[in-house]
Amino acid sequence: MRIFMFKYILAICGLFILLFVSGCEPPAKRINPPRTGIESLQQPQGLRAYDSPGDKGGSIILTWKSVKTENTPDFLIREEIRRRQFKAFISEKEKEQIRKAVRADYSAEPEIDYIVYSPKKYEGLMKVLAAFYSGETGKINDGVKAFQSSWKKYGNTKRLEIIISLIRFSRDILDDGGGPAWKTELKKWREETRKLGFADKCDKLEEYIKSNLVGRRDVSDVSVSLTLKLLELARIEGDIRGLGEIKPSLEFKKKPYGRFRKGLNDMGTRAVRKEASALLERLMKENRARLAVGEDKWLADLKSSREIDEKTLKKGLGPVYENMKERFLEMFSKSRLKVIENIEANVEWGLLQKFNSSVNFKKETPSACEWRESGEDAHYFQLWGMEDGVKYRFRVELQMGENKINVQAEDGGSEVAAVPGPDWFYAGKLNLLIVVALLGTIIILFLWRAKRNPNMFLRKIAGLDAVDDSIGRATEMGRDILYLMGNGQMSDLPTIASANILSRVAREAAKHNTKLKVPCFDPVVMSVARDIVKEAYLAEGKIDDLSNCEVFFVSQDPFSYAANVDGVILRDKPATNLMMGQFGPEALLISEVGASQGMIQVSGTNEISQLPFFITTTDYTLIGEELFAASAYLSRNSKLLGNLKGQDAGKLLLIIVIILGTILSTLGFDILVKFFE
Amino acid sequence: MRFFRTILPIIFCFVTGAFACLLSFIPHPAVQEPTNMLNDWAIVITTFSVVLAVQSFVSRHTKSIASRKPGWGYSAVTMVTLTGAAFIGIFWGKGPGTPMGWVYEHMITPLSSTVYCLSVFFIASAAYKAFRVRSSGATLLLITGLIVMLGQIPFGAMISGGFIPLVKDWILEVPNMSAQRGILLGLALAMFATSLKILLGIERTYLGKGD
Repeated sequence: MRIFMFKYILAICGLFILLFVSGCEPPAKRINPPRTGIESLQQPQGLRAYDSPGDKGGSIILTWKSVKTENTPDFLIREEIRRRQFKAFISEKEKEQIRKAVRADYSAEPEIDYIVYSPKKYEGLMKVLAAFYSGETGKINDGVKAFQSSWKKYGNTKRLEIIISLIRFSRDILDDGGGPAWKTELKKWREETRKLGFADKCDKLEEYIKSNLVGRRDVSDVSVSLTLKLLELARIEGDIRGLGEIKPSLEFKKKPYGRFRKGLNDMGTRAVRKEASALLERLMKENRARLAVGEDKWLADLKSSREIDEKTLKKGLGPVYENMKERFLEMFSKSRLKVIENIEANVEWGLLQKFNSSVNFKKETPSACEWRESGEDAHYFQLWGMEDGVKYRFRVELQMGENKINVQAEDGGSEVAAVPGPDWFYAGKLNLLIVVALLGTIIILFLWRAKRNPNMFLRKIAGLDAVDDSIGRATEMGRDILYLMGNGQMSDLPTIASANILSRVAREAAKHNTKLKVPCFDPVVMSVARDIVKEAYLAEGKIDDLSNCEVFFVSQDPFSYAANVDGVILRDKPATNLMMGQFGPEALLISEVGASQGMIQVSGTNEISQLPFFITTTDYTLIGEELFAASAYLSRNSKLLGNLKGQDAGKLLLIIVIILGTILSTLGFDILVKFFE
Repeated sequence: MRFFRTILPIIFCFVTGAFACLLSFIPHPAVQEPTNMLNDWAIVITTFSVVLAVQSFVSRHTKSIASRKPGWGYSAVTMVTLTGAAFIGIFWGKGPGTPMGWVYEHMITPLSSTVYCLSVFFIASAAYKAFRVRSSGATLLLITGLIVMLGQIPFGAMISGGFIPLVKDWILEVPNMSAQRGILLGLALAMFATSLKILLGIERTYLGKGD
């Protein structure tokens, strides 16, 4: 007993020492590290912000590439390791903070390739563009409102409404994505109408759309319809702008319109819109660029630096943008971004997984993704088969139609890096270890108790009492006992439990000179069963009668097995059928034939799906755990009884935990739920 | 002798069992590699066990034929099919398009399906036994069984305006599921306790040693 205790305590201590030596973190921080110890990428809250585009066909794309660590500068590795956990989606508040930081110190943001300055008057338009660009289509309305309020005092309200409608239609087209061929068609149309005037361009486009795009499978009907509406509005807007024919329905008056045109010219609106549109197009094409909205203070700083001449600024924003681009490109050529790009220039991004952004992570978990409710709502991407020690970079993109947008990482960047390394402890199983240690301790304590008090009370199990009776019946009738060990292998616990019962049955059979037949499903189980029976006969001093016992292999096909056993039942007419172990579809085929022959049948299995068949066709059934209790129950060995009592105590503990968990969960405390997750 | 028959297997069982237990908590390759090796060993041992199976199979059926036991004809058929299948498999290989493929498709599969189809009749017979009203428990079982069966078919929904399928779902998802989970919890605990007693050498019956 002491040896057992020592071995047990040694094993438990070993596990805990291992746990603490490995310095693992609690599971809440390192959830579910994979078997190879790869870092999980975290993609926390905020995904719902993109649900709307996702519902319209948008996708989330996970891409990755490996970077050889030895080629990467040390400082970079340190920094990347520090920010391993990738926060792909962040709250609106956090996004705003990042934007403010970018605006305040643009030099700290190396991924800004293009920056447009916008005076206060155009802030609304800039916000709309920024929302377009970042994919936050939900924010476009805010931009439109700002645009509306800043323009109201300068222009015609009707025209303002038209422009706002144009923006909204554009947003809807962007949301819709246009279908697979949309971008190509758009490009084709632009080339064809490049040299045409505005009105001709509109006509040509309308004609082109109606003859080529309507009804096509690879072009979205929604986008086509929206574009036609957009064209109609653009024509009206163009008519007003070019002093052309005013549509009677709009009922514009000359006076306010003239004032409006003056206002537009004064403000250089057309220049802004033209440049902003071109910029938006380029940004969309290049995916990685960022848009920063400038402020007056920033302009003042730029002016004081004298790097951009004021004349250019007064002219309009287009030239300013061009100048600034060169300046920033020069500035960024020395930044860390350049270093990264140089090292990884030849490594291509590989697709890890692509799925609809409207996917329900909880119910339809994509294969590379795991959803957990612990802490903040988060999505975890778990990666397999990666090489230890090699640095990997990851990024998440949102795709809408042909457009792709990189998702921001926790630090505002678009990528995150991680170096996989093997773990010495599976932190996600810490709760399992604690439960195993606790239950093990309880069982050991009861073993100790059983040694001091061997006459422990054990509840009556009718099925196990019937085993002895059924053997007695077979002896009295002078017929065979049929013992089936199920279709499990020797590594399956139900088969081991069945082997334990077989040992008792064989001893009883040997004692009473009753014939025993054991048809086996698995050759290894057959070999073990032969040894068990032989030992039992030896123990009873009846080794000469071993020929009474037949242990033989039948088949590893359940139906062939059932057919053979049924044949044995019908030909040899055994008096008793004991079916103990793991059973599949052959269970009913055998037990029903046994019942039809009037055999006394005792069954026991761990397979819940077979239990109803056993209960209806056999005389006694050992349900689930009773199968495992058989060895202790039949032998009345004090150690085994102690184990059984410990098991019952463990069950009591589980019941208490379940009741406690139910109460706590009802009251809103999910501590137990989280522990068992 | 006792050392080899009892102590050595118990030590071996403890060492390999404790190692396997550790494996589930340690994902490090240094530990996982030996696991793969142990798994390979198991596959090798299983392959050799086929020899044992054939030996047992042939021995039993040849004895049956030789002693003209009742039903020895079946044994003869079994021996012929065993020899024939082995012959076809060894000389023409296996897989689709081979004679063995034909045997599998046109003999083994229909025969298995035939035996499996017997389950239908056996299920009906078992249901009859279960639903005989002999006690209050059996009556309850009969009523529950009727509701579940009616809930599974469109007729049940038709006569009850969709109520019976709802009751069926509730029966399956609440009382049935809770009972199943209770059994599963007990099973898990029993398996854990059994593993522990085997690991610690308390349970030795499977070695044929008894108490």
